[in-house]
Amino acid sequence: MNSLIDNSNLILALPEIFLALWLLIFIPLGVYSGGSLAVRQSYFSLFAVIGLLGTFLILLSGGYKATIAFNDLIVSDKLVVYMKSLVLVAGILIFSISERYRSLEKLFIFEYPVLVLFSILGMLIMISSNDFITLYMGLELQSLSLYVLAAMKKDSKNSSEAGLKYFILGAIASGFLLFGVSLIFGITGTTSFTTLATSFSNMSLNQPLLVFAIIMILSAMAFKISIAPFHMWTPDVYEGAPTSITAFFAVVPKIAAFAVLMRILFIAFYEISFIWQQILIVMSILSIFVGAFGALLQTSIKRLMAYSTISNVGYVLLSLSLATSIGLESSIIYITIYTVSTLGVFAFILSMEKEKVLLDKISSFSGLSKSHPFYALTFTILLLSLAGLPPLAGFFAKFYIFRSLIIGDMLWVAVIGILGSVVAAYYYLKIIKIMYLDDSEELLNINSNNYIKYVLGFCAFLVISFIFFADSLIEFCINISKAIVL
Amino acid sequence: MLDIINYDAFLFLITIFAKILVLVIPLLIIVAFLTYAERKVIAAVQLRKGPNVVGPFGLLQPLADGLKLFSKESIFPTVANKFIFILAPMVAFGLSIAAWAVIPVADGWVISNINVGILYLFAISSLSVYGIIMAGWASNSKYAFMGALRSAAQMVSYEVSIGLVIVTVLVCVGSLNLGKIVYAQQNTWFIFPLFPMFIVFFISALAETNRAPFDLPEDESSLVGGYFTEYSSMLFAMFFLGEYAAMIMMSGMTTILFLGGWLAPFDIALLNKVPGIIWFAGKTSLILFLFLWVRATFPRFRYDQLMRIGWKVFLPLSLLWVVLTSGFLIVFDLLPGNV
Amino acid sequence: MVSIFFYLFAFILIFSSVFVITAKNPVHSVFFLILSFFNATGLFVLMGAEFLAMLLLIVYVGAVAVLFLFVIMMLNIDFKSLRTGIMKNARLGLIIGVVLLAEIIFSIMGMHYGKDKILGTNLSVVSNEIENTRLLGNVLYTDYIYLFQTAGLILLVAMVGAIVLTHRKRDNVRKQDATKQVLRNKSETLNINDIEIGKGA
Repeated sequence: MNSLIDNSNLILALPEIFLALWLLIFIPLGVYSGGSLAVRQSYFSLFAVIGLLGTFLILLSGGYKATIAFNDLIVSDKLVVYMKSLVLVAGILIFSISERYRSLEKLFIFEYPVLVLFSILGMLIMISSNDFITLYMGLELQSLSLYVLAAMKKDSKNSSEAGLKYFILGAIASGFLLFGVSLIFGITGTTSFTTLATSFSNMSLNQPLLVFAIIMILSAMAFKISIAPFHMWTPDVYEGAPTSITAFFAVVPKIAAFAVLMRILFIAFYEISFIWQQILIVMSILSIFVGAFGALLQTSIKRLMAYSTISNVGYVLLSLSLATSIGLESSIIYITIYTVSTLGVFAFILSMEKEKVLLDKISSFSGLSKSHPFYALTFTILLLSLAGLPPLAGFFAKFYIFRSLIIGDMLWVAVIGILGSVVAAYYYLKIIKIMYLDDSEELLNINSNNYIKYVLGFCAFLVISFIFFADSLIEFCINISKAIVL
Repeated sequence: MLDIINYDAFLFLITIFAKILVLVIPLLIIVAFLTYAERKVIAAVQLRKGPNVVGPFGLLQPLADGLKLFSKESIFPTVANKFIFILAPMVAFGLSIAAWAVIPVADGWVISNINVGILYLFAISSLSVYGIIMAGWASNSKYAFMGALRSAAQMVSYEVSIGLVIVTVLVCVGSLNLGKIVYAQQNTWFIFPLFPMFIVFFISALAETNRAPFDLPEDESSLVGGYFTEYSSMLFAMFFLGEYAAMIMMSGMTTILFLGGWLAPFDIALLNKVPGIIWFAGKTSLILFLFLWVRATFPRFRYDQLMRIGWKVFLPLSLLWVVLTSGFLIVFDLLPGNV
Repeated sequence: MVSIFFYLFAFILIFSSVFVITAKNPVHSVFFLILSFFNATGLFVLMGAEFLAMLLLIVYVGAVAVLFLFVIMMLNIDFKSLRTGIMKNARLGLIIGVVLLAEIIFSIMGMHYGKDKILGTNLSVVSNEIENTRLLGNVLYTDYIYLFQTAGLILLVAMVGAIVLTHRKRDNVRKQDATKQVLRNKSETLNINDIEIGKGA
């Protein structure tokens, strides 16, 4: 009997182990601590943030060395470390911007941070997976917590509906994933990504069953990152879930799902890229357009952001469909910039309040430029970045995607992508118009006594100053993708 | 497909069939006389005489009862789901008989000596809830339905602690085979080192078989007759027999897990001369007597008390004991190896 | 003889699965589901996977299906309105179903049968010498310890989630403390007063 519990294995999983142990301390602490929930809320959030910080530090101290552990089940390399850091930092920032929202909505229960931490743990497991079974486990851990978080507002019908919808569709998607994986196992006799890569290189690849399996797996992953035509749940869930959870949905799970998708496509199925390329191109163009046109008529900012997410993930997938190192690198850049911009936008959405009631109608922005110039300005910068105006970060994100498409001889796809982003720019600009030009009917009175403005300012600053550190980020992303694809 | 008419296979089937008959017929007779024993024991506790008219000491009372039930008319409620209504008592009765396929009543005296015997027993005992829940639903009567719901919740709850108790024993044995579980007790019966688990198991067995003081599914003061309110005649008799057979089965399981099965209490030549089945029967009867004694002594539990004990006392206690036992075995290097 | 039982179990399994979907009454569907679980157990036993067979019986039939039945029996569903909803979407469903079926048929047509066609390593780990419970344990707690622990965390999340979604703090509930009730003694509860005849209130 060979024991796998030794140092070389444990060190690789140390961030996950630390976070899991932290959670196991957290739960009894939450259950048995006395006093009113409202008072304890901030302590619990602090405790959760410290846990995430600790995990982040342990992750960084582990270094970048590419290794495989636990019987090929998990892996660590530059991509893993970078994506995990992104998840953890985004998680910490979302905690700090959702404090105000939670106290207004009375979401005091300590299970809120516990479940958020659990889903982050699931994402960490997903990101470092080197096997379909590990991927599935991480995915389930993550989704199960997210289903509950979506339905957290028990007295709100919308929230329960969001939770139920997300749960049922998510369960079907997981079923698809398992079905696809079982077919892959039937064909090749393995579920490990690295073994799959070698086994594809020495087998006849014209198996229709293989195509079928890959379609199954890709549709499941497309559901998780809300790619059309598997995006139906996104607007309803984004609208119904508590806004702080929507912010979480929009950013963090997407990073994790993309990280693992990159690993599936570029390691496990790289030899058979001719099968998945076309599927990905169709799906991503579809979702760019669904996102762009779906958002046009929305009146709720949460629904609008849902469609914005759909079109943004479309761009990432588009560059992944190139199956080249440049495509991978530009998608990593895009995800990074998307994370920063979306975090900023949600920081703003979470601060939209009037007489201690939170609003989510776009019309309520009117007159914001006069009542809260700082918020209006930063929000404008973030929206312009999402719309892709130079010299903001969003422009570069889209620029690198289109550049890689053109290099990869997919000019017409790039043209379609640019058309989509033109449509999308329209609704971002419409919001700016409402803020600066419309007469004020209902003035928001934003309570600025919290961390939100710092996060908002920080994100806006990053977006503006991207041009100054663009080189080093791009250099870094090239390094990451070079390590995956030669 | 030619191997169907194979002579060996035919012989094999005949032997199995004979074994089943040899086991089931005495079992049914024991079940019948258990009802007699129950009435006598309760009478003795309550300073009455009990059945004493039919035959010497009333010994023929079970036969008279059986005859009575046979000759009565089966009544089906008009709104009942007839198929499931008839199926329910058969399931209840059939399952409690099926469990005996793996119980070794003496060394080697078993119909099927399978590797996962204890899991089979556990599975069968957890399936017996279906007879009840089907009866409650098919009767289309609110009392029957309430009884069925109570019973389902109760049995599912107590299965959890039974499972953990079984795990505790298995950790000490290192095998799921019932014969090996018995052999592991050659030096000490598990009742001594695992006494708290024996208590938990016995009480859970009472709840699992819906016996007093946990007989809420058939609580006559609030539910008329519980899940068999609408049953009469032979269908009712099958429920009745099933319940008693399940009692004997649970007692047999207790004997195997904690009282050393067919083994003699002391490893003395004289005691070892006594056939194993005598020991097994004696120990099982002792547990059965406990069942009856408890019924005669204790008042019925309230439903919330029942649930509280199951989930808040037994579950943590048995879980703790699993951890303690395995910890103890690891620390003192007593873990059983390849059995 | 084994092959007879295989066909018997497989036949009943497929037919009861069909009935799970087509049965008019959802309670009957669950009963057919249980029947199909039983037959799957039978197939496992034939394959020599006795531990999995018993686990299927205990977990799915003994616990999960009971809760299914519980919930479905308690629901007050109007079956007729449920049916009309199905008919409304039947056309779309039929198209999707046909497309999927065609895909599966195409895939199976292109598939090469047989164990030797599978790349990977030796898949037959069932041995007669060691019980397969022990075999499963040997890989589960060593090679797959990482997944085993993750599975534990998933179950923990499921429990926390269920509590979050259903637990509501209600006021005006008088809770009973069993320990307190048991520890109460006669002198605290019972007061015996000596009252003279004719002087009682």
